[in-house]
Amino acid sequence: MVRPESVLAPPRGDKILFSVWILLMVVVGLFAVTSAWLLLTPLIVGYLLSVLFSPVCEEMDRRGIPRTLGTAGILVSIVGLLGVALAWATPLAFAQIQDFRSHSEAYLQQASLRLSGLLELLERLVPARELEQARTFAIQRLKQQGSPFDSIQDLLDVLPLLETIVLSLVVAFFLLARGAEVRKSFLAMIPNRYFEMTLRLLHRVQLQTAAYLRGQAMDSIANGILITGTLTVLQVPYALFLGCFAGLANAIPLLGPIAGGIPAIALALVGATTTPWWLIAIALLAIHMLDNFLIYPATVGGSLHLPPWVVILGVALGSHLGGILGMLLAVPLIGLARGFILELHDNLRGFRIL
Amino acid sequence: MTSPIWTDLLARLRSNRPDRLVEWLHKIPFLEGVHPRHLRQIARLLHRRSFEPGEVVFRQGEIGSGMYIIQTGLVRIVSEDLVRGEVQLAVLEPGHVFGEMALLDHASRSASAVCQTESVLYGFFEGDLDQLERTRPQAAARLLRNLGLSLALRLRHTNERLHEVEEGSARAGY
Repeated sequence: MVRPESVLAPPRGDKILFSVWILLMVVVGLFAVTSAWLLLTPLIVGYLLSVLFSPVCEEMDRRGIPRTLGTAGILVSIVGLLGVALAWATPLAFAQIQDFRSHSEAYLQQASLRLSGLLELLERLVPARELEQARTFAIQRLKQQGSPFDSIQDLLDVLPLLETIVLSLVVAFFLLARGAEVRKSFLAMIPNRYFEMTLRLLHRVQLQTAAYLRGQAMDSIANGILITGTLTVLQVPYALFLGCFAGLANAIPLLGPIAGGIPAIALALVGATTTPWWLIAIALLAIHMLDNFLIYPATVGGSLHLPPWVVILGVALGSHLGGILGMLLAVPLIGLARGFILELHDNLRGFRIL
Repeated sequence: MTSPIWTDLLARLRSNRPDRLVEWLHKIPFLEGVHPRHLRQIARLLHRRSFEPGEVVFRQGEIGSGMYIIQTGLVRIVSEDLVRGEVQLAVLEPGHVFGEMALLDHASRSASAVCQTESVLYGFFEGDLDQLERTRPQAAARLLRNLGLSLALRLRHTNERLHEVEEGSARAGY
């Protein structure tokens, strides 16, 4: 089937108007998200998960497996895989945290030596009492021994996260199994004049979101594997965790690759490995270049065109609202909203409503 | 005596039942050769829309994203021309399909469609075709083949008309 233009290509339009739309979207989104962040999180994560896994569901559907059964199978597999990964990674994580804490004194001393010049500058700029408080706090945190779950309170602190995960999975299940019916029921309420436009708009936005999410997931996995492998070869400790962190951070454009590389270089700087820090930096830079020129164009491609200021603002806002999860969700959400606004503008013109 | 509200509601529910819809789709010439199992899948994807007399289904020049099948009512296909004004090209009856060109090229509508009477139409759009291609490729292939046949027939008809017009012009000495 020949199509005159790619569905992923951004629609044409007036750039100034689009920027105004984006600003407006940021303000409205800000208000909506700040008002109902806790309620929205599972819905957003569930929706994104459903978009991510819909090709698997469709493949099962194609093979004659009922949609509900297929969806249940996929989600049970995800939960099972996560469980196995957690069971395998938790003791390893505890051991590595213990190891890190037992070496923390030495790392801190090394860091003090390395950063002596910076500390002198800080002492001149920051009042001595506040600097001492910060130093004491940092040493206390690093010296804390034992498992991360020292008390019942620590376990209770994890419950909201578990609640979000479970709710997100329920939403994803519902959308994967019955999303088409929900969409159809929603569309049935749209007046005839706007029906075709709404249908087209939803379809195109969904295509853009799906392309971005799947591409980004593949890009993050590829980066995570590459960084873990490279750090292992370079004999950097905690390579698996640093690789996972870098892979995850890679989902945040512009800031992610930098944030993902810092811990490994910092470990080299404090003497956790005999490998020189500059070698690690060069290796991470090479991976980043490989990602920029080869992996990213092949996976994510041009499915999301966001100006840098929008990304930085969005990530800062996401971090303020929802911590790491907020930072990770910010960019796809802004991309989704941007795609929606651009398509809406294009459709309103195409359907002669504007 | 049954209340008219309930009669209407029950009638609507009956007409919405997938089995009845599949039976009806089976009789549509455009869907000839599509396996009943696949027709069931297509029936799930179709969007039922009700129109009042005089209501516009789509306008000439608007972006098109799909086609409609007429279940009940009559639909006028109208071309709007700056010189000749509104020109009626056809009046379509139940079972007829229109707007299918947009399903393939997503380009602007070449004519407007206006309901002449109260009508019930079933819409099938680009997203539905994409979904069908992913989940039932055989059904999508059959549908596209029928679509190709329908467009070929229309092109042949247009060529014949053009030929007649050219012959008429030649006879008139233009």
